Amino acid sequence: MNFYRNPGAIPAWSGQTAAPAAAKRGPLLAVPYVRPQEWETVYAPAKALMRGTVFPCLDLPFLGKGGARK
Amino acid sequence: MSGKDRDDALLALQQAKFTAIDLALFLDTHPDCAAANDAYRSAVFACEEAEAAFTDRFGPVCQRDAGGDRWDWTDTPWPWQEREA
Amino acid sequence: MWTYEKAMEYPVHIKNPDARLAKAIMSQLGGPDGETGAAMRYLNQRYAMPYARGIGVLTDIGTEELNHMEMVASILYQLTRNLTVEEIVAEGFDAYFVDHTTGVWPCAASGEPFNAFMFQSTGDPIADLTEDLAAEQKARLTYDNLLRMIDDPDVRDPILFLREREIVHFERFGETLVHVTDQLNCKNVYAMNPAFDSPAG
Repeated sequence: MNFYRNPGAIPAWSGQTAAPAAAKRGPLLAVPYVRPQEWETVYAPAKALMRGTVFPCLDLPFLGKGGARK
Repeated sequence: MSGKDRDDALLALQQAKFTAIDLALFLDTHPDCAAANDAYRSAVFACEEAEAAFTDRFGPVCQRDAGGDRWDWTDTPWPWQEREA
Repeated sequence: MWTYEKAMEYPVHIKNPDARLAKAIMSQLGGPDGETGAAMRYLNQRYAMPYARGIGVLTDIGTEELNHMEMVASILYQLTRNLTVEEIVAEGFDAYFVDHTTGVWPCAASGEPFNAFMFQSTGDPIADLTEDLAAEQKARLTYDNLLRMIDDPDVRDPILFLREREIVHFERFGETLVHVTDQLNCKNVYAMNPAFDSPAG
């Protein structure tokens, strides 16, 4: 299939990374957006397993207590 | 060999394997991150060491390490069985 | 293809059986927001995913969900060992017991059997990844609810791990969706389905 007839066309398969301009575009309308994570110093393996991730920025523990308070 | 020795060796293996798993997921979405690629190579090395250490004393985790004089793949406890099984 | 490693992703060692807890946790094995559903969802969605990065994420997270399926099944197995029939009846586990004894069978806590209606594979990458984001949130919140209910530290421990994995998976699916939309026409990402349509013109 020739996708270059129409510059707005979308290739059916692309192993390429996004063009830099596209990656900096940020959130689009009508599409869910989750901010991409950046690399950081990771936990040591023992702590990583215990916390459930090597990444401190994604270590988001549950602190709730159950139900209504009397 | 005590049950605690096996537990400790297995935990070390789980820690090493999990580090590689979580790094690989990050690399799936950040394939060009040099620091993550380095960290992954180190994590794989740690896995290989921990796996060899466990397998030598407590039997195969990977099927390719099973066998020898006899097929021991099914001799050793399965992950959901109690330590003493 | 898959290989099996004889080690749990995270330790599961439960000393005290509790069939009542097993009933509550059952849905995380065979229910709509459970680990079996997650594995089947992601592993089936990957075939129609047109972007290599998306295939990688779906394959690797889907594979990890099989690890989690094993963990939840192991939790259920350990929670229902060494029970007397009286305990099984008293703890409300009798309906499951009649058909399955203390075997492991994937179903929801309601008894609804695991089935493919519990997940979707739409063949549309934006829809599939959006479903995946929702699935991870639903799994996370059910683990929150289980943590509210469970005091036994042996059971809380693997549940805490499983909950954190849902948050990490959510982040990865979000990053994948950013990548997918970056491949599309930014003026209108819904102009066509890159998994199916030919471009116009």
